[in-house]
Amino acid sequence: MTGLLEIKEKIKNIYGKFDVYLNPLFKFILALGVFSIINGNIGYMERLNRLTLTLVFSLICCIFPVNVMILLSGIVILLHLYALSLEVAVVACILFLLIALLYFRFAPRDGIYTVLTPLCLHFNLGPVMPMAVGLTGKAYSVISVVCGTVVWFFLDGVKQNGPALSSSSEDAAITSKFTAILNQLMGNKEMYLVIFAFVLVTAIVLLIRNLSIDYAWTAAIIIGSLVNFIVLFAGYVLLEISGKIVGLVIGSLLSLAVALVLEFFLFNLDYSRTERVQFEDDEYYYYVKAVPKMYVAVKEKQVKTFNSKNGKKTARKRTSGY
Amino acid sequence: MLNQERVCEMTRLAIFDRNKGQECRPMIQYFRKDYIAKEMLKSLITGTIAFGLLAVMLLLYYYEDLAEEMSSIDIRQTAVRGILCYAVCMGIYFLITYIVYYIRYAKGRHEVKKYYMHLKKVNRLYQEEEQI
Repeated sequence: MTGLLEIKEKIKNIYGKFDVYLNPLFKFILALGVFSIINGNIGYMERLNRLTLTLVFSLICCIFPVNVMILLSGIVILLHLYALSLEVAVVACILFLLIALLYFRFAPRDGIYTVLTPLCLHFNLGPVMPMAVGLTGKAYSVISVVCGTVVWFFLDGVKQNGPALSSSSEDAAITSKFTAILNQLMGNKEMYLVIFAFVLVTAIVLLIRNLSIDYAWTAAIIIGSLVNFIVLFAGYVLLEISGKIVGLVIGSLLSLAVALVLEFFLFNLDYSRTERVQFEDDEYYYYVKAVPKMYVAVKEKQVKTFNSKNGKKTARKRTSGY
Repeated sequence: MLNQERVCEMTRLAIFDRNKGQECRPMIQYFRKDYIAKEMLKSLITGTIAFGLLAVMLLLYYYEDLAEEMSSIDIRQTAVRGILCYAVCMGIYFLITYIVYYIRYAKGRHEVKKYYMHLKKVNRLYQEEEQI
């Protein structure tokens, strides 16, 4: 454990020193991932699939706030969908506008969750997002996770039915195309199930982590993971959706691991040294429970180097100790 | 020579300016009623557009069913239902807007008050330095 804490402290120190460079770098990597996944899955407009364009977009995103990344990725998605079919692009445009008008007007800073949710769902790590929101965010931030989920299921549906929805398939009437596209959203029972599970997980995690109990975060993560697994498993069985169980098991375990890593970095307490004190003033009686954070104290150690030619030299070296 | 206390206070002010300055500006510029009214007006526009988009989406989704029943649809009754639906949706949207911006204003005012407190402290420190 001490070794892990030392690594954590080192990472924190490095981040503290170079955050000016690391923040844009992380944003660049995130944007590169987002645009690569968009191009790799719904890259219907070949001009946009060039690596140079992806790099340019990622560079733009690393300079500006996260909402610019949302805007750019939205435009790229719309262009790809336009290349597939005008009808799909129109529906996607309406969907994006609805999300922007109804939710991002109130919480423009929650954009990062909307970007990360489809990314996590793509890598089968969906439950990480509701747990992360429950652990670090506010209750209403779950709406941005829901928005990200809706977008992911819509795009996944478009990807799966790409040939049937394409402009070249003229056998279907325009209205039938619209109905088929909107069916990806309105008739997608799996999407409703995942949204229900995510909202429930967020609520449970938020509730448990705010409790005044030992290991509240760990309990919240484990119970959240279990609830997510049970709800989705039962839902898949009831809705007769096959071929999802193995992915669900692997995804749940991976999400649990990611959430525990998050806990290690954001909320690491030493419950063995909990202090309980009671005192009073004129108006109240106070029952205080103080739990110290787990950390590695950095202490200075003198290292003396003896050199026969130049005499004695002393050097200070920073070392870590628990 | 640098006044350490003043530098600390000024750093706090700069951090507030960078992180919450833009967000808290309306709390200085407007009274609560005016601020909420402005946001309500914005909600009227965005809510109407969103309702229109939602209606278009539903119309497209049920177009084929509607086309079949077009002759039997009572246009007047449908219009009344549409307006009622719009009123209910906007009512809910306004309520959410009111609650969100009421809380935001209250929190923002609190932050601004803290900001002014630090600002006063900086002024006091400047005056003390000048006297010395």
